[in-house]
Amino acid sequence: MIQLKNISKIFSSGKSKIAVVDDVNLEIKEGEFMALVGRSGSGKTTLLNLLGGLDSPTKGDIFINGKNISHSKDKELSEYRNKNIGFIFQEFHLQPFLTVKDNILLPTFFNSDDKNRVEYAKELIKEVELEGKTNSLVNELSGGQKQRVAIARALINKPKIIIADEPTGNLDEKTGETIIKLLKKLHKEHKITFVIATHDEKIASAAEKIIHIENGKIHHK
Amino acid sequence: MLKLAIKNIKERKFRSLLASFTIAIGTASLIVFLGLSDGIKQATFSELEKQSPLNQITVRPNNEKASPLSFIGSSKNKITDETIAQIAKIDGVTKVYPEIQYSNFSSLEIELLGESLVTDTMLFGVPKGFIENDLENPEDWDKTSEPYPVIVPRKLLDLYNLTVATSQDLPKLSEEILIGARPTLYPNYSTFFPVKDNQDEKIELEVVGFSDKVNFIGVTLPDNILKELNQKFNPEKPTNYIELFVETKDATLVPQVAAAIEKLDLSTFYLQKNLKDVEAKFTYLKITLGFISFVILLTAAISIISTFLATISERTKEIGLFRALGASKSHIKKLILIEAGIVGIVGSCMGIVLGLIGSVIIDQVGIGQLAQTTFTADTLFKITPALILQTLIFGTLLALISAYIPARKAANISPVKALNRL
Repeated sequence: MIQLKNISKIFSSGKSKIAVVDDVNLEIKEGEFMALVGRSGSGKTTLLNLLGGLDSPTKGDIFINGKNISHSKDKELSEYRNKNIGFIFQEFHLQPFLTVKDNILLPTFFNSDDKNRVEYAKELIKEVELEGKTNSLVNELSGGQKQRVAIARALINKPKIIIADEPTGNLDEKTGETIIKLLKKLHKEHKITFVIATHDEKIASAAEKIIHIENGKIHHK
Repeated sequence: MLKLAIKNIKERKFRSLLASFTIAIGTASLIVFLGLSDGIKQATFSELEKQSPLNQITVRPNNEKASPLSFIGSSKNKITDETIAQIAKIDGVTKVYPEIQYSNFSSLEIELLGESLVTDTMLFGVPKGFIENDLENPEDWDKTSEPYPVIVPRKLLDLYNLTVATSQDLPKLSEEILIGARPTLYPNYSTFFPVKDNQDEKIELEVVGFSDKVNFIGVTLPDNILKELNQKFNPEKPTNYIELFVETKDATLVPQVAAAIEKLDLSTFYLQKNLKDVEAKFTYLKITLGFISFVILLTAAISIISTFLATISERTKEIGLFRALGASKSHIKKLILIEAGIVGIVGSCMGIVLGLIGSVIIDQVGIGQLAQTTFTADTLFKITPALILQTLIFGTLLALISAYIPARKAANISPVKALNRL
C-alpha cells in the first residue's frame, strides 16, 4: 500500500516559488494498475519521482507499506528504489555498450541478493518476447524491442511497484498498444502495482484506476 | 560492479588508454630514476667495498694526514710495533695487518708484447694474510728467493689501459697477460728524481696477482722481503709502517674499535665513515630524481582528474540512470574508483614495462661510457621486485586519489536532473 499525505514539491526560481506538486493526498493499493493522466507540465513526472524515491517532497509524507520514506537517507532510499521500484522511461535509457541481457541485469549490479539473477533475466527475455536477442547490443533493436528490454530491466529485482513514465511516448501507435498489452499481461502475472503516467486518455483507459493531475493538484480520483 | 567498470572502460577505450598512458609515463620515470639512483649507489658502494671491506679500518699516523705519498715525512712515523700490539688487544679486533714502505724511489722494467716499459714505482710490503684471497696460489707469497712475488693494484692496470696505452699507442694489458710476467726492479733508481744514476742493482720479480686492496701508487711485495731489501739498499733508513689494516669481528664493531684506536692518537678511515658522506650525496640525488618523478606524476594526476571529470560530465545521464536503478552515492563512487583503479593498474604495468625497457637502454649506454673509466660496474640500475611492487601500488593509488574528486562529483549527480525529469 502506498500513501501520499499532503505531499508538495516546491521549486524556487529566483524569488518566486512554484509548487509543481501541490498538497497531494493519494492511496495506491497493492497490485493496482493505476494511470496518472495529465498534460505536459502538469506535475505527473514530479509526482512519479517522489513516488519512486528519486526525489524528496518539500512537504508531506510518503508511506510505503507503512514506512515513511520521505526523509530517508541516500543509502536507504537507493536500496528502496533498487528493491521495490522498477522504472520504465519514455526514452528507454538503455546502455548502448551493453547487451540485452546485461541491460536487464543492470539493477542487480547494485545489490547482491539474488544468486539466480542470470536465469531470471533469461526468463524475462522470454516473457517480453526477445528470445534470440539475449546477446545483441541494444543499438541493434527497434524502439518497441528497446522498451521491452526496459520493461524486463524494471522487473529483474522483482519490485513491488512499476513506475512507467509515458512508456509509449516514443513509439508508434501500434507498437504502443502492444507495449500496453504486455504491461497488462505482466501486471496480471507478476501481481505488481503499476503506476503509469500518460497524457493519452486511450492508454489510460487500460488502467483499473485513473487519476488526473493538473497544476500539481489531483482533481479526480 | 567490476564487470560494469570494465565495460565502461572498454566503451571509452581511447580516453582510458590516454589516462593510463599518463600514469605509465609517471611510473616509468619512477622505475628509471629510483632504479638508477639505487643502482649507482650500489655500484659505488661495491666499488668502495672492494678497496676496503666493511669490517676493515685503515689506521694512519695522525700527524701525517694519512696521505699515501707521506713517505717523505716518514721520520715522524708514529706507528710502532708497540702500537700494533696495543691495537691487537682492543676488543673486537681479529687481525692487524701492517703495511710497510720502501724508503726510496725505485723503477720497474717490464718486457711485454715485444715492448720494454720502464716506470718509476713505490714499493710496499704487506703480510700474506692481507692479500691471500687475491692470490691464485697463496703459497707464492712465501717465496724468499728471486724472482720475488709481487702483487699489482688493479686500479694501476686500469689507469694504464685507459690513459697510457691509449695516448701512447701502446698495447692494452690484461691480468691474464701480466700474471707470471717477470719485471726487473731497479732499487733506488728513478727516471724522474735524481736519486741514483745507474741501474747496476737488479732484482727479479714475478707478478703473482692483482688486488683492489693494496696501495695503488706502486707494487706490493711480501713484507719480509721488502724489509730485507730496505735494509740492504737503504741501511741508514728504517722501514716504516705507513698504515695498518685492522679487521674487526664484524662490521658493527668498526665504529667502536675505530674510536679506541683514535685514542692512541692515530687517524682511522673506514668505509662506513666515508659511506655517510657518499650516502648523503646519493640521498640528495634520489630526492632530486624523485622530485622530477613527482612532477611527472603530478601532471599525470592532473590529467586523470581532468579525464575523469570530462568522462563524468559525458556520463551524467548514465550515472543518473544507475542512481534511478538503485545505485547509492557510494555505489557510484565505488564504480568510478574501480574504473580509476583499473586505469591505474594498466597504466602502472605499462609504465613498469616502459621503465624496464628504458633502464636496459640507459644501462647499456651508461656502461659503454664507463668502460672509458676505472669505475667498473655490471649495471647502473637496481630494480628490485619491491621497487616494481611499490611502483605498481603507487601508480594505482595515484589514479585512485586523482579520481576521488571526480568520483564524489559523480556520486552527487541528481538522478532527477541527470534524466531530465524536472
